[in-house]
Amino acid sequence: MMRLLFCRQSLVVELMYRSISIQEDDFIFGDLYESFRVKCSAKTGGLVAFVGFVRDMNSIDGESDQVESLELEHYPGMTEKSIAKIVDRASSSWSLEGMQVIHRVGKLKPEDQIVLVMAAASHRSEAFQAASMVMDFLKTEAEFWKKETGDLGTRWVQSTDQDLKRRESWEYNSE
Amino acid sequence: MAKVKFFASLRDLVGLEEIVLDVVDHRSLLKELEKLLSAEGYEAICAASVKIALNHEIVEPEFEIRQNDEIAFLPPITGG
Repeated sequence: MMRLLFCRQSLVVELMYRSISIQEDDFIFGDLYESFRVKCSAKTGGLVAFVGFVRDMNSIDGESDQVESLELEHYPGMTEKSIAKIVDRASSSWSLEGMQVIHRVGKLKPEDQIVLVMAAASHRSEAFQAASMVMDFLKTEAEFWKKETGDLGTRWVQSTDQDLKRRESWEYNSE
Repeated sequence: MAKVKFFASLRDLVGLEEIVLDVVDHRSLLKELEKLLSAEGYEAICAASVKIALNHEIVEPEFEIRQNDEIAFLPPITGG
């Protein structure tokens, strides 16, 4: 019984279209959307896409910082594996038809695109939940670090309790 | 010999990106780093929020280290 269940889950992961990329280059959302859409199976009832941008303002200890640039660092080799585990988790939690994740690294400026998550599923609820879970896990489980330069100087961005709580809420919900 | 890497804020605090050390386990690694790093750098890598990866997998303390292993000290993640 356990073996059958394991095989079935592996099959879901194998059949689902998935793409993970860590890159310095920007991306064109429209092109990616068209390409992703045709790669998902005919069972797809909809897809949810989230694109994150670099904000021009941030708060440091309650003080507003006008952001000039953001430098993103990752751990080549490990970060890719961590994102793959996050996508595995999403695909074993919900019945997905496709998932694509792009995370940029290097030097970015306000309004630049920083991250893309697309999740396709037969039903909208699964696509919304999967995209939301993957974003919450990217913030806390994938090895990226942000260094922000603004009018208050240069500093490493600190993780927040809110991010950790959002990630932990998925641990609770998926059990 | 094992390769030891420091990322992001830890690299800045330690003043090193990478170092090769002759260590066999977590205990000997910390002992060696305590000798090599400044008090501030050593304190930073020992913080409860810092995770250690062994060959790209997060490990708990008391792990063993083999020849050519890669160890990384990782500060809290801020992706997305």
